[in-house]
Amino acid sequence: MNTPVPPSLSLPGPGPEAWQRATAAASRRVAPLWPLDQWIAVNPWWGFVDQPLPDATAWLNRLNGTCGTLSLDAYRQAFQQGKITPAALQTVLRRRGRTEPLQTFVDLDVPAAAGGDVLWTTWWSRRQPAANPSWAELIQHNMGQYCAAWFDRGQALWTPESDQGLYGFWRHSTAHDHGLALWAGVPGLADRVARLPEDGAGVMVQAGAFFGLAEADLEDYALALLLSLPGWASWCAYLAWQADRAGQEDPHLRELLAIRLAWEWVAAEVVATPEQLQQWCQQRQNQPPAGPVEALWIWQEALELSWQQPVHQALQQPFPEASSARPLLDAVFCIDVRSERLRRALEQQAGVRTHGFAGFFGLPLQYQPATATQFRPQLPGLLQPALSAQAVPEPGRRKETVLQSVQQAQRWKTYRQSALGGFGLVESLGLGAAWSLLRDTLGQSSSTDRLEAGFRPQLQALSLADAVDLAARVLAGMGLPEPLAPLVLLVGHASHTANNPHAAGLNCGACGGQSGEVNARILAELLNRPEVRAQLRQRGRAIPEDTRFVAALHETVTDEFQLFDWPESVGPGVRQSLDGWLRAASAQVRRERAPLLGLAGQSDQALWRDCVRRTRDWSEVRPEWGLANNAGFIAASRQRTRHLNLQGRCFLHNYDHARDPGLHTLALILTAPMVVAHWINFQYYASTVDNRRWGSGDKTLHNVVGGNLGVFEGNGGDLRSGLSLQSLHDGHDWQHMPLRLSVWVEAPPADIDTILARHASVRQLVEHQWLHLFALGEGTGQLWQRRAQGSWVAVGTDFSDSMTSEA
Amino acid sequence: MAFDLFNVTVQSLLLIWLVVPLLLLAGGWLLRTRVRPAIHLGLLGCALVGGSAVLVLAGLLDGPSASVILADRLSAALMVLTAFIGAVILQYSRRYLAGQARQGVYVQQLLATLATVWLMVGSGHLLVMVLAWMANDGLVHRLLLFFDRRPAALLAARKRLLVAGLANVLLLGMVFWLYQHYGTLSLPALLDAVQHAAHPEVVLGPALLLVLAVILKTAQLPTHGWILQVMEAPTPVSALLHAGIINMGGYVLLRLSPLLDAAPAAQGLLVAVGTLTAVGAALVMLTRISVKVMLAWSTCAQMGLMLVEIGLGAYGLALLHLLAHALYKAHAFLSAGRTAAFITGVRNAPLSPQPFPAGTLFWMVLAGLALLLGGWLASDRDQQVMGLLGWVFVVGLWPWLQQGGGVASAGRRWGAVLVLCGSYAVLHAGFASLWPGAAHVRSGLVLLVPALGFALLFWIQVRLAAAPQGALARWLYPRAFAGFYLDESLTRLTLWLWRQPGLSQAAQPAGSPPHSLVAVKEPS
Repeated sequence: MNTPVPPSLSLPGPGPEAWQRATAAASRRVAPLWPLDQWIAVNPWWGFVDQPLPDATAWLNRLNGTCGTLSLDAYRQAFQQGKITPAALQTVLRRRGRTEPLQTFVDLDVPAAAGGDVLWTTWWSRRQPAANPSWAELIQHNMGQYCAAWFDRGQALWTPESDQGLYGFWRHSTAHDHGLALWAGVPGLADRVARLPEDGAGVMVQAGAFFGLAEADLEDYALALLLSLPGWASWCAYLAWQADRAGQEDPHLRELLAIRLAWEWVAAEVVATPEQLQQWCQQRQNQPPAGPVEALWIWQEALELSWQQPVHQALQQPFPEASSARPLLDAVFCIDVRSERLRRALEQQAGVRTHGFAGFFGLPLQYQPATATQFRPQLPGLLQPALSAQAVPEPGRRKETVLQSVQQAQRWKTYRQSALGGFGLVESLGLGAAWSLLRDTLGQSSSTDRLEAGFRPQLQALSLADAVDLAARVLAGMGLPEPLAPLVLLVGHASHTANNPHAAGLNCGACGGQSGEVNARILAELLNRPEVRAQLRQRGRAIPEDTRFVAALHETVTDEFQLFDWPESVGPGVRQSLDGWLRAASAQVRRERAPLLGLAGQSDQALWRDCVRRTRDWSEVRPEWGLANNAGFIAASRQRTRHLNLQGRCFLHNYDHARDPGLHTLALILTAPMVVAHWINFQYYASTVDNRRWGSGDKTLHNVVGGNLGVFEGNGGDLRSGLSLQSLHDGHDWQHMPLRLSVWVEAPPADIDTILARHASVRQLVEHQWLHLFALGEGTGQLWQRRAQGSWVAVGTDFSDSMTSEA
Repeated sequence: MAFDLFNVTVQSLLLIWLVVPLLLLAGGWLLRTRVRPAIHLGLLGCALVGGSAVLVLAGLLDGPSASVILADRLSAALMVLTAFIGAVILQYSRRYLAGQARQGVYVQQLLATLATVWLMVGSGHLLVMVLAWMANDGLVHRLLLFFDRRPAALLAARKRLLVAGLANVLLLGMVFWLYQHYGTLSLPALLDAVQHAAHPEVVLGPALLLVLAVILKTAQLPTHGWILQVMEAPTPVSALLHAGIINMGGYVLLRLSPLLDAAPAAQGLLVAVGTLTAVGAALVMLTRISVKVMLAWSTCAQMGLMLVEIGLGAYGLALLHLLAHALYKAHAFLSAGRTAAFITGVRNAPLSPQPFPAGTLFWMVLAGLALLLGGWLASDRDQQVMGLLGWVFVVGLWPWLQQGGGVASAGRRWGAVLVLCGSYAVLHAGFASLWPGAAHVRSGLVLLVPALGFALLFWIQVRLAAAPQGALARWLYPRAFAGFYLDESLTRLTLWLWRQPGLSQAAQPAGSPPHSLVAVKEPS
């Protein structure tokens, strides 16, 4: 052990280059957070996938106190409820080489994970429980306010302008914030801030020397600084992500870090004695880094295994042969777990085949709606738009008129929020709010969707050759089995909710948090073009002459379908029977969901009415359960899963290994849809196991920040990322069980290994236990699991011996 | 015969006003764990109170009709308002707070809160009114502690308790004084006595106590901090507070207005504090970055204007303001979740910037000045007040001229201005005639305070638009953003008064405070 040096007497600390390196390294570990209008799911620990998950969460615990698993009590409760089976727990214990009897393990208590003291303020606050406000609160509040002001995107009418960057703005403003000293009870606080160096680099060097930081643990320290405000750091990471794609660099993470560090320094200087600082230093250096708590991870794995077991048994059973007859209807759905129920219901009609594909249908699109003059992304956050589409008016509508209404609304907002306008508005039109209150209470609110009616999306400037390339690429990716039905539905999905800041989170994540309608309509139109079809035929990808593509939308609150641009060549009889099938499927799914919505036993009509109410009710905080309880991802032919009830817990992606000799499609699936599913899966996971740091808390306290930056929970503080408690919990029990994603791929293990060898990030996900990967053999009963060490183990044997020992 | 029938109707209506609050209190207590029936009971109560109040408003009777119960336009208007807002909030809370462990207790407290408001508004006895107001404070305190493990919620609620407690002491002092002097606490008798007193100036003492108490209870600077920080309770609680509770101060002033008429110093104090708050809070509001806190500062400013109007004797306008603001703010809070979608829409179709409209501005100021001067020249003080307030309204229309959008939008913009002006004129004329001639502002100097204050606000607004990076903007922004440092001393005092250990979240590592929806446990 090194002898600790009294910090203020230490040698010059790390230099600017060391800080630069540490900041860059720490910045790479912060996952981006998208704004509310494009709110897509992200694994908040994406920067840590180069580490095994248990180690990563142990590290996160040291940095900011993160809990990486459910609590022991929660696992024990799941065990009592049967959500963790004794067989699964026994198996996991054996896998880990633990020999104790089951009950001994169940009764075993685990040591408390202390949470980190990497930062001085955290250490100090923990020793001063009576201090009110604590430094941690004070800093979080102060930084939250100034970050929000700096990043504001349309809330405040008067926003700061500064050429000195975020750090300069913060320093200037806080130096004038004399209230802070009063609140903290520390006179001269603002003056101390005023004496800080003029730039962030200066703070780093001087504060580093003050605290006597060693270059070796500088990255840890920098990361702890950033993760003490995970929300704002993630916002800065989003800006960096966007800048990076434009080939630029974004300074905000560095500046955020400098501000947080400045606070450490100021706080330590105004309250700490040298002895205290030395004590902190000593403790920090002597504290052995706590590893993961193995028992909790055994519980976690047992929880996952308990769910996998029945799925495995089902997957190993013989499955019916695919019929080679031409179906009446092919329907392509988004891989979203909410599609699973609907697909299963629709397939009960004879002659219906369904398929799973990412809901943006492979179109790297940006779209300009009728109400906008700007484009918005309509594709997964991982991709860059390459195509543009626009809303074009049908006869009798004009884009100018629609834009004018939007801009008029903007003028009203400015008037309402202006210094004197608010007074006048209340005294002239304020009484009219009685009508608004009545209308909204009765669920009759109007929405901007009304303005979009009468417009349809249209691709811009795409040459025939490019159009054909695009169509061929999409068709190859989808891998629709032949022969195609005369009618092919392309089903996007969207969720309609009222008064919900996180509405985009319930929309199609593959479409960038938007409705999937645009992508479906554009693809249907493209594939119906005679000239495109003629060219496709020349390239050997013939679409049957009589096949028509029709775009549809799956509304996920009501589970209803909406069809677009019905081709006139298809007779009304077809439409009639199609409508009947869709209605029956919707009703069945609603019945299936009823217990989850607290509506068990209600009539079909009542169920439908309540679902419709949920789309319009401004007081509804649980309109639908979204992707709660997601747990699996299956890339296989539908034949393998068609007979299974997966309870809306699986992402289903079509994959036909026989038609993918170059493994191109397999690579695509494992690097894109699977990663997106993993992001969703971990957004749910992290929000459930540690909602305080990685979720957004109670929805009834949400307070929209900066227009659409995100939300505060309450008055202020950190920007809250992740899901609200209302999206995960119904007040009695968790509606999401945090299971790591189990991925089944219908391909030979060797081919999967080929892809893993090529793509390091995917390999890390598997080998570092961020997900479970299984290979499904072509025949019945062949199932292997990829172990972290790289080997494949047959699944059946693993289970059967545990079963026998149980029996 | 017909006369008898009329009397019977009146009697039964008054009975409703008396019985419904009691019914709610009892029913709410009995049903405290059963949410749905409690909400149904509450909605029924709201319907009964609101309905009977509408009948009263419709002209069945006017003027104080009994000494125990007041059934005049003022009371009826407030009854309708709170019944309506109460019903909306009850209905809203049913789904919004579903699954919360405290929902049942919350509904019970909400019903009791509504009951105290109706008791306050319907009571013809001064002491009953004050006691109901005090009870209301206690209940609101409980509502604010919906999440009672959040340190920030505790801080805001306690800060409010401190301020409201002081106000209640002042109010009791006023009651005591008035009883000593006039020997009655029956409102009709008392107000009649004040109005017809030989030396009305002796009521200066109680009038000042009253004004100070109301200043404290309507979140005027610098005791406004709690209203900004109550976002730590669920949205419907914020809505109730901003729409149905904070404006009770306005009601009490209007009810006791003869006291103010007899005490110009008290009026002056109201006008001064109201102007300061309206101007200061409006400036701070411009800088707010979260929707709920922006709305809170707006409430602060609006209450300031309402007090100015009362101080100037424009009681009809103040009533209009009270009602309109309550409805407007209730809706703004309950629909605050829409902000993200709305602002996204705005961002995606931004207005092209427009050159600074110096010419139009000049004409506008000229028109405003004419209005102001016209009022000033009129010998009637009533006219002067109208001129002044009209001037504030007219110059406030300025953003409509400043906004871009080109010629195509001129129709929409001027249309909006016309609608605003028309509605303003009709409502002001209507409410002024509903409650005419209470203006007894003795000194023209009192008018000068708001005139200068709002002129300053207007000037700042124009300067900021003309030079967003100018010296004024750079100097003012950090101060306005910090709320002019007005609240922190009170925060410190509150923290010192309730200085038990373990309150702070310091014991936990960085992260958000705990919540009570579910007990999410840390690994232990």
